[in-house]
Amino acid sequence: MTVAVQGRARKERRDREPRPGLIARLRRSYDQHWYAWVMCAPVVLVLAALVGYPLVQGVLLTFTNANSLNVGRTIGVNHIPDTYSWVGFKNYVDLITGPDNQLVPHFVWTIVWTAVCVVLTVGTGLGLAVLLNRRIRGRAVYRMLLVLPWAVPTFVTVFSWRLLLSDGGAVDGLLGLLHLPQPSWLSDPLAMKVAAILVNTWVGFPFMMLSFLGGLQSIPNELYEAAEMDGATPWQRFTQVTLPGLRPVSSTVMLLGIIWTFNQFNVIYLLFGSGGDDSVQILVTYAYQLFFGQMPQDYAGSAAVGVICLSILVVFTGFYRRWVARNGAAA
Amino acid sequence: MTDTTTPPRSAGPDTGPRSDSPGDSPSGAGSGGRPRPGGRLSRRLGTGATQGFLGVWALLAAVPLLWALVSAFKTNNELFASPWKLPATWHFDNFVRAWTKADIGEYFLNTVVVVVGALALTMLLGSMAAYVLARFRFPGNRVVYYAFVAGMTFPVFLALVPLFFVVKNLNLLSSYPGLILVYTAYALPFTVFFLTGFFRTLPTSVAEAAVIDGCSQEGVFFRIMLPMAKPGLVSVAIFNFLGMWNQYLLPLVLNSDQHKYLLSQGLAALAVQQGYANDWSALFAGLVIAALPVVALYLALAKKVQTGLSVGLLK
Repeated sequence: MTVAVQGRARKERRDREPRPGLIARLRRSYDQHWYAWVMCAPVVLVLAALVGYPLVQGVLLTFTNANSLNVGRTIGVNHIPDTYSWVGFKNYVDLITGPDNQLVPHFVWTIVWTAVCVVLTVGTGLGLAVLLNRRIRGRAVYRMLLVLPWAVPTFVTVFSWRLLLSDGGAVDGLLGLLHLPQPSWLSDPLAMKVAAILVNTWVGFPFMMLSFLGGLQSIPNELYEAAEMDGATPWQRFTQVTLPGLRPVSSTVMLLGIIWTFNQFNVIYLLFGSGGDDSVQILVTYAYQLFFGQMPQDYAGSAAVGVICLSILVVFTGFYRRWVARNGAAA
Repeated sequence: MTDTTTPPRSAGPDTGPRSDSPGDSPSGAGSGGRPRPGGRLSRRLGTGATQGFLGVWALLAAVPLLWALVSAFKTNNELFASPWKLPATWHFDNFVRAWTKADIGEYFLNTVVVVVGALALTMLLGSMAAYVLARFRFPGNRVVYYAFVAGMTFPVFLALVPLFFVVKNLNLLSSYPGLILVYTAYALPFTVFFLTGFFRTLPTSVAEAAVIDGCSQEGVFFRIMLPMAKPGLVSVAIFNFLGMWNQYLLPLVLNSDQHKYLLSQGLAALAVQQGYANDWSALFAGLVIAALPVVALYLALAKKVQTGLSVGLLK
């Protein structure tokens, strides 16, 4: 059996060994399968080389003490070999209980950041989508303006905010006019966090709004009419018709929102650069700092933070999916 | 149910205008099949509140960007002395200076090369894979498909450290092909996922008829399936274009040659330099130049973006 497979499908990659039951089918319609594999092969190769392999390497790296001083490199004609060694779980233990105790504060702030931002973006997005879904004058104009923060590249918008928020800048000017306090948005730890959350909400709500708008338009009007016949109040129609009708969209965009916010490198990094107070760094920007922001560059520590992030997201996604499925079944 | 209890609380303001209509609901119900009834007065109140709320939000969304746009026409002094006023004279030369002296022109062309190259490669490879994943049953189909789904939720930076070394070992650091390949790799999961869903919705009869008439597999793909999938291809191409133009982290890590800088990097570098050069108006002009293609594309294709988003999320 295996001989036949190897002989026939040499192009097939090792990790896709067909189960025995499929071999018969494989033999029957070999031409089609060959075609399908060839069509898939480039994508699989690119992803394996640039996503899969780095991921595996990254996980392996976390069990070493690799940094920019002991990784093999070539200077001119001289090649210096790798000299780092295996250290087991030391990186993880150091990160969590080490003397710097760096990870835990960043972790807590990342969770707060994600939770607050997702609640704010989803809340605003849903509210605006409901309003935009009504028949009102100037709807197209509102929608166009409201989508701008999403349509303009993040690095442009975040830069604009950085300049707006700078000390003595435009926002401070406005606050001064209103006789409100003018915190230094880009250096005071608490003000930085507030600024980051506000800017991220500003950047993130249009996507939520557009998604919910699409979801709202897919809810059949008859449902509202039936609810109205039964004497449902507007609030009841919202909770009993609109929200359940949005569930397919909301479960997806909530998950996307959580993953994106958790990994929101651009907003934090571009708003504050590597300067400012360290406590505002979320896990991803912290990992970046470990890699690029210091000497010697701590490859292993950076990768370990990355693996911790991925583990958190994978576990969370698993629970979330199960929770959505259970709630969907119960409803 | 818990997921549905959080949004309404934060969405409180919008329910205000509507919650005053229950008193009028009899008259509203009597007026026939309108989805949202209410007396004339309360409806007008509701509309007013809606308009007000939307207006405030639209202002909040647009003002920072308009501010940046207007600032691009000011002199340095005006920027700091009167940040909220219109410029005395509109300085178009800021753009010229940004394009030539601040190298934004160079960064712009670099970005175009990388984004166009990566977009073409992504669309070609992605549609090929999505087509067979959607239309052919073959061993490995599910494995590949779920690998893509997993890859979509997988954030770029997690593999950043080793990715840096992979690209370095391929001698592709700070090169167009390197950036194009990496951009492609990280755009493919979403592309394949989205297009697979789209190809599944297309009718099979046309392709079958073509095969009976003796059309080759390649012919079916390029001459029948791709044209039929055009709406989906356009949507996903727009999303990828926006995503790639926005990309900052990948070039930051993989592209350190100043002559190969992309717009996002170039502007970041420019922002740092302004501490010395003190030409902030050129920086604003650069920001506007960087945003223009994306905004233009968005405005031209707003409808397609919206439907693409709905189709992608509802599937």
